[in-house]
Amino acid sequence: MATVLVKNIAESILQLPIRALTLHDGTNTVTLMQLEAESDFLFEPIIRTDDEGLPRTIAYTVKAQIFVPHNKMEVPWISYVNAMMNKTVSAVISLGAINNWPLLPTPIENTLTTRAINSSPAGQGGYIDMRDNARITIKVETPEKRQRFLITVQSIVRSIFVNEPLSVDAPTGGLDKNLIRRTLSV
Amino acid sequence: MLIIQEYSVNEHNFGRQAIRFAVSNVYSELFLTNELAPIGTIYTDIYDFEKHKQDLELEDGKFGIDELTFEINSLSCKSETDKKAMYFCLDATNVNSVRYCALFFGEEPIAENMLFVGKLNTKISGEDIAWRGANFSPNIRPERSYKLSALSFDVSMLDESKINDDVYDLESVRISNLRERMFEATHFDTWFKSVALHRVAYVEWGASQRYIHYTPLLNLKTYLDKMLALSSTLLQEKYGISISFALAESDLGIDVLPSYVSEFETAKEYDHIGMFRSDKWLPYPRRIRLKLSDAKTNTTSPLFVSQTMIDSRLINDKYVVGEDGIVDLLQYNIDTMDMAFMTKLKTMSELLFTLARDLGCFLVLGYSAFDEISIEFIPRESIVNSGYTYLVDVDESSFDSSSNRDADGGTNFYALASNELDEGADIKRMGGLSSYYVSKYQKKINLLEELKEQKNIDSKKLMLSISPTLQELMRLSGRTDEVSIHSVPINVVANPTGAMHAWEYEGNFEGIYANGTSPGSVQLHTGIYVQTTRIEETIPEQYEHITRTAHAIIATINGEDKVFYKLADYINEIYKTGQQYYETALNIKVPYWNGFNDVEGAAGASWKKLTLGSVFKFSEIVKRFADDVFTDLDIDRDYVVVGIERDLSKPETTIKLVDKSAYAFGYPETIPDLIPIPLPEVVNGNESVTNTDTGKGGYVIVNTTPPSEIAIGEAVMILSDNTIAKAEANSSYPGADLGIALASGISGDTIMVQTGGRVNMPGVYDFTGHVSENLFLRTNAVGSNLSHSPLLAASGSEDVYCILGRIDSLTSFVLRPKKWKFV
Amino acid sequence: MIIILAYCNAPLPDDTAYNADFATVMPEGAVGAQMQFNTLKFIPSIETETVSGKTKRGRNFEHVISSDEIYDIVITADELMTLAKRAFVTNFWKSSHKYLVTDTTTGDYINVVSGGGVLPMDYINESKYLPELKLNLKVANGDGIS
Repeated sequence: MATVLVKNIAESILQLPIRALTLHDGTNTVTLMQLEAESDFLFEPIIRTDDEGLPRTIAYTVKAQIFVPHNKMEVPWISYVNAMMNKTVSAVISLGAINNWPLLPTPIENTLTTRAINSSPAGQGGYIDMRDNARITIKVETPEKRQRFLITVQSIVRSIFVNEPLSVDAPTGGLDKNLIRRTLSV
Repeated sequence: MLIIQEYSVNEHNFGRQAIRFAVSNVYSELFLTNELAPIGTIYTDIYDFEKHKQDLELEDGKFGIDELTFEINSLSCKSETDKKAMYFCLDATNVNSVRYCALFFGEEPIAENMLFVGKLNTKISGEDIAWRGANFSPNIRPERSYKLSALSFDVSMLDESKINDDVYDLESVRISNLRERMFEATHFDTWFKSVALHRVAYVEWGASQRYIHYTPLLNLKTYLDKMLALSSTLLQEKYGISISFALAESDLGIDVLPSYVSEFETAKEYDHIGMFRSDKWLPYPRRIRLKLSDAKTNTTSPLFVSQTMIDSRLINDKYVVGEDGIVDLLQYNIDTMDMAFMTKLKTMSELLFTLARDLGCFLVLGYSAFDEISIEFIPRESIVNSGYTYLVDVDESSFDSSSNRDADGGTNFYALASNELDEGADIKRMGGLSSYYVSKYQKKINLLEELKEQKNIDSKKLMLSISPTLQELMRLSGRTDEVSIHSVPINVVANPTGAMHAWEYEGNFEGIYANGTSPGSVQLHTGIYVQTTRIEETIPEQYEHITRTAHAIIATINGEDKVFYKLADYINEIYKTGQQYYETALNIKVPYWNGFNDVEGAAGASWKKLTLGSVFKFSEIVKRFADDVFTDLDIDRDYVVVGIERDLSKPETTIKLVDKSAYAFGYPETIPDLIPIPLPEVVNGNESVTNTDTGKGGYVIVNTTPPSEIAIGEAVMILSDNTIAKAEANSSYPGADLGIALASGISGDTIMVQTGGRVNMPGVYDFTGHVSENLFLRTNAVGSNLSHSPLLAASGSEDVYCILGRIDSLTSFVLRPKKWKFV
Repeated sequence: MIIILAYCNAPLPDDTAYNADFATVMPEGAVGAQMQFNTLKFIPSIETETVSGKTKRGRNFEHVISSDEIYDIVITADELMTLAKRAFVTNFWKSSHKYLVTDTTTGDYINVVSGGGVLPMDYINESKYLPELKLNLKVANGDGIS
């Protein structure tokens, strides 16, 4: 089970496993599934202090590390993903379940309003929507004498929003699952 | 339309200082309070003030023109009324839209708060900030920052009051200038006759009668009052505003000594009247303070000038405007044009400033009410306020002690008594030939030119002078053939009604101030005259006051008592012309407006306590080295304020001070020793004529073939070789002086000739029916060349219009020839 | 703190009370807009202009020429997320007549000035998606020289 590290203790711990990663760079769409369990993400709030001395979160930086077994990346996919390196691409990380949200090639607005970790309307977990604001890197790792790809996805998202019960195993220790239902959006 | 800007600044230590600025096209509106301001008055805050300056000019004795500068930035106009306020001021560029403005230091628009009142200058400059429109478009609708200035109204107004030049009103219609108003037919006769009086000069004792002599004078203040009244009317017609001018009774700060005769010759016989001897015409040790005023007191006198000083036309007997078309090309006299007030000076302000300078005074103009300007002549000594002023503290202060010699060498002042006589105790000789006067005048001019060339000193002529001038008269006794020479003060005439002998009067002497219908033998004279109680014992008591030329000035300068026999000497001394002297100047910046007081302390401190002329005392302890030892000395130095600059955007006053010793004038306790000034040299004639001799003015009749004959009483002309011939009205003898033969003779004979003064020949002359008329010279080969009819047109060789003089009795006329040539 | 910023190309009359419909307070034919912002920081303060110095006797003087209320305002990325808000801020900066309302129930439109120059927008983490606006507004009609 992936452990997600969150910097701010006020935020709940999301223990949603990453199920899939969809990437789109305006030409090609790549969806990667059957990811290794080590895949995880972390998010960090961007906080400003207001005139009452209290913090205000205005956005989150999200960083996800996705491990893809070597045999799950076939040749054309690797080259597509390579081509997306260091460009701004659209990415959706599916959490808890696999969602097939269409990726729109152009942003609706040049703002962060729709970038979020949203729930899926079908109520199957959540997703991190990094539409038109994701940056990926890819490299090959060889831990324990096997090959795998490490894809790092980074973005800044406006809100993190989860409102559905999650079908995951309860974490050992940590926060009450119900807490997870609180909206974390700002 | 009235526009008002009010603001105030909280001055550290002194509280709130309000400032009020008003602009209007109607002068009187500037002085309305907010309650009385008309409906539609605009209140704005777009005017950005800089500085207000006042200066005292040391040399010229006049206050510098106040100037107020301010800026308007068109971008600061936020509302429609702001824009109206801006465009209203910019209209001042149009000569026909006059904009008056006033700045008050205080909330109420009253005279005592008034720092400045003036007229916006037509010259406005500006800098563009932004343009609109596409490239090449002429529709730029710019935003600009405008710089405007206003000049103080009092002086600039008097500059518009022109004496001889054209004056136009705001609709460019020509209106009369001051000369036209003064000499306008009915006005001048009425006014002149009522003020231009012949005043008693001296009384002469004859064998059996007293002869009272008068000198035609005009009170200078009366003349200036009239000129100011005419200026007020002129400005009313020009601008449509009514402002009156009030010339204050002013003490001119000059102590003079009147002239008197120290020794009379008793009447010899019959009518040998030998009262005057020119070496006994001296300054009398009675000090009289000169004033501009209407009446005399025991110790002061109004300043009188000769009536001829008004205008050069009065000198020629004709003071009615409009000559008879005769052009003067042969005038041998030095032009009198630049000696009379209204011929030489251009404007009313020039008249006032020139007189102030010539008297060593400052001219102070101020507003006594918003429609009345007060003018005062203030002597240099009292420009300095009597008490001390104290200032709170200074922000910056620096001094400069340097030579005050002008970069261009300085100015030398000189004066002339008339167009042929020098200032001072000069004497017009009876035998005075024109060539003598021309050469004397030329010598003076040469001397002045030398001064300029060698020492780079410019010379300026004063309008007035101290000139106890005398003139010689030769009298032919009716009983014997003796001719005696007497001196009389210049410009005295006998009873102006014509008769030579005066009659005695009882009662108030004022009654016989007779109005002159003509100045008679009077010539232009710049001397200052004063009135005083009788000096010589021979003047009967009933004559309460007499008028005399001022003979000398006494003053204390830097602690030293001095006597000046010429006004030019006194003025040059005051202005320290040509001398080098050291003047310490202080420049002080006080970071307050109200940090000035007349006591040592803060209570009652106000900006009003600082004026031009305020005196500050600064003390310090110095060490002086003398006689091999150092001693500590406590030195007090007095400084006079000669420049004030107030910053109107923040509390700051910059003042310029000079060492008060530049103003250290005073009046001597006792009258210093008077040195008799020697009289000028005798003129050259055939034989020298002194004033104690009975006359011998003999000339040889020219040799001609056939021999010339000259009859007694005829006019003769003195030729270049000093021989004489019968005079002709012929322009072939341009410089020949004219005289009257006192005896008959033929070629080769020596006969006496009278060349000036009254020619009295009972038995020879009979001027019945022609008294008070002119006597003319005509060419007449046979018979007398004297005539009562002038030449009216050139014919043949007779082409000179010549007046020999004015007939003043049945048997005499006063010989004073004037010639004009027909063109 | 919630504030309203407004701008117009013609001046509003003095002491105009706040109205949620800006079109009703604008002068006829004028163009402008108003918008609400939830500021990160809103700090009022006061600024004076003085002329001061030290005299030659060593005494200090200070004349207070004018005083103005000033507002230190920070609007951060959470309030600048939409294009509409960004466009409003740009037009506000360009306008000659700027207004601030601090109290929407009882307040008036306060005429303010902002100073010129570049729009004072910072970008958090250097991201164009996280703009932060720092405005230093000064009251236009302060207690000037009083």
